[in-house]
Formats: sequence, C-alpha cells, structure tokens
Amino acid sequence: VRPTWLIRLYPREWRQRYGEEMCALLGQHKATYATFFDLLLGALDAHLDPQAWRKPMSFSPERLRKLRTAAATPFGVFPLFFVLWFVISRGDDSWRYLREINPLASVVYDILYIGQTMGSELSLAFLAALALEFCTAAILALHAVRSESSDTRQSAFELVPLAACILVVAAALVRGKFDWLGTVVSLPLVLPLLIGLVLSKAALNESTIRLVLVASILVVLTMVTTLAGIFVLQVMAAILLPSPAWPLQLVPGFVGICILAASTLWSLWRSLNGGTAPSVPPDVGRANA
Amino acid sequence: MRDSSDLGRFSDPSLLILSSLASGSKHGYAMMMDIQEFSGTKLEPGTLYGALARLERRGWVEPLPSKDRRRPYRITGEGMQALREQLASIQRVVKTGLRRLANPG
Repeated sequence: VRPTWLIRLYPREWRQRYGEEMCALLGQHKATYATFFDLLLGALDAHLDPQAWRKPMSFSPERLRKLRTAAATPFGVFPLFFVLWFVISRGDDSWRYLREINPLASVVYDILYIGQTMGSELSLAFLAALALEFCTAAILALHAVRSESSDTRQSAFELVPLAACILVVAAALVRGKFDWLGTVVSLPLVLPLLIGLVLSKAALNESTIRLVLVASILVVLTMVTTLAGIFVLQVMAAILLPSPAWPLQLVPGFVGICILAASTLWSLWRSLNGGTAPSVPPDVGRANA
Repeated sequence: MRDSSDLGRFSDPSLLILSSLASGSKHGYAMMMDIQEFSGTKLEPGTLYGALARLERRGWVEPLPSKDRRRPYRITGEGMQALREQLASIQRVVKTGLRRLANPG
C-alpha cells in the first residue's frame, strides 16, 4: 500500500506546495513501516512549524479592513449582551411562575437558560482563544522584527491559544459550581486581550481571520436563542397568566439585544463581500526572490 | 558563520541534502538515492521534505521548474557557503578526534 494518503494529514498550504512532488516520490519509493511513521512525524512537524503553513494575507486591503471590523464586533458586542441579559433575567419572576404551572413553558424556560448558558460559555471560550491567537500573532510579529526567531520558539508560541482555550473551558466547568468565580476568571481573559487585535495589524493570517466568522456566528446564535426564548416566554405569560408582569427593563433589554445581534450580523455580512489580492505561493516567491 | 541551530532535528538531513545538491540539481528521489550511496543513510520522504522546506525558506536551496510532477532543487550561493562552513567545522572535529585517538591519555 502506497502511503500517499498520509500526505492528506499535512497542512493544506504544505500540500499545495509539496504534495504533488511528494506523491511522485512515494510512487518510486519502497514504503516500509518507517516510511509511515516518518510521514506521520513529518505531518505533525508541519503543523507545529508555523512558518510552513502561515502564508501572507491574500485579502485586499478593503476586505481586510472589513474583516478586522467583523473580528472586533463580537468582542464589543458580547460583554454588552452579557450585561443586558443579566438585567433582563433579574425580572423573570413571572417566567419562573409560568414554568411551574405549564409544562410547555417549563421546556421553553429550560431551553432558554441552557441555550443561553452554553452559548455564552462557548462564545467566551472561542473569543478568548481567538484573542490569544491575535496576541500570539502580534508577539510573533514583534519577535520577527527584532530577531530571526527559532522554529522551536515559534512552535511554543503556537501552543499559547490552546493553553488559553483549556483554561477558559476549565473556568467554564468551575462556573457550574461557583457562578461568580467562573465569571471572574473567564471574563477578564477576553477583554484585555482585545489589545492583541489592535497590535496584530500586519500579522494576521487567513486561517486565523476565518475563525472570526465562527466567533461571530456563535455570538449571534447565542443572542438569537436568547431573544427567541424571551419572546416565547413573554407571549406565553401574556396568554396564560391573568396579570402578566412587564418588567421595566424587558423591552429596552430585548431591543438592545436585537440591535447587538443585527450589528454583528451586519459586520459579518460586510466582511463576506470584498475582493482578494492575487496570492503568490510564499515559499516559491521567497526562494526565487 | 551561518547559524544552523534552528534547523533542529533537521540539521543532519540538511547537511546531507546540501552535500547531495553540491554536485548538481536533483529531485527528491534522486537526492534520496544519492544520499544513501555516499553516506549510507536512508532518508525517508517526511524527513527529506521537512529539511528541504527549511532549507528553501533559508534560501540555501531553490526549486527549479518541475518535470513530470517531480521538482528538482539546486543549491544557492548562500547554501554553498553554509555547506563549506559546516564541513570545515566537522573537519576540525574529525582532526581533533583522530589526533586524540592517536595520542590517548
């Protein structure tokens, strides 16, 4: 069996550059167990070697600007959403009462809270990881300017977002038991790291910036789930309860979350439209320079 | 002297590749065969391309237009200089080692 399928384990940019010639070589080479192991190790090395797969940005400056705005939006929107949700959920006495008297309302109530909590935790974890990725990119850019850094050191920097992600997920798990502690630990991880977004102006790569779309979609989904839950519960309260409560903060909070969701969607939509600059395979370009 | 410390575990394969390309441009398989012939070391494809990618990034080797899916590589002037320096360094170690073996104690 020719181990050419193992080349699929290499990063996409690597395969585009070396895949064909490696396939040609494997066609002539007599594969042994050592070849399989060597290719597995090579694929792992290529993933851990940031210079091997990070290619220069091929987005046009206009598209890059829109993407940066789309990247910054969920960072700004999410804390505001969190505050609005906190304010709205203080006046949910009638929902709680409704939950006790109506089984359907009980299901909607649970979906609202579970969806809101899980969406928030996921968004938070993702935003923290993303912010740290920006920070890492910024550190790498500064480092590269100062000196030609070693591959090992750059690989170590690559592990920082992973470590942050684990930290935030751990914080989210702790939050289940100690509500205030999780919030105290996880929220500050996101906000100061927004600085990374500003610093990483020239250092973002395409794979990182595409993650922005995932972060925006997560934040929007969390907000839409929350809005839908609030809407359904309030309609049910109006129908089923003789004198439903309309807390003062409900309507402004609801409208506020609508505006936040719309602005995130709008910036996301804008970032999807824009030109791309012609890209040159980085390694060939450098080698021929 | 050109620093090759960041080549890590690829420093030995890199030296073999540069030595192979010093006699003329070669594609991957030809390099593997040549290296096995002159050094007895059998480089596997993953190691070969891991080292080749690093050498290419450093500008010590450069790709030539590919022929029927196989892309030949050639050593650059800077690669030649790096190879000379590394071989000279090895030569000093060999000389010292042999001298000390001849006069032990």
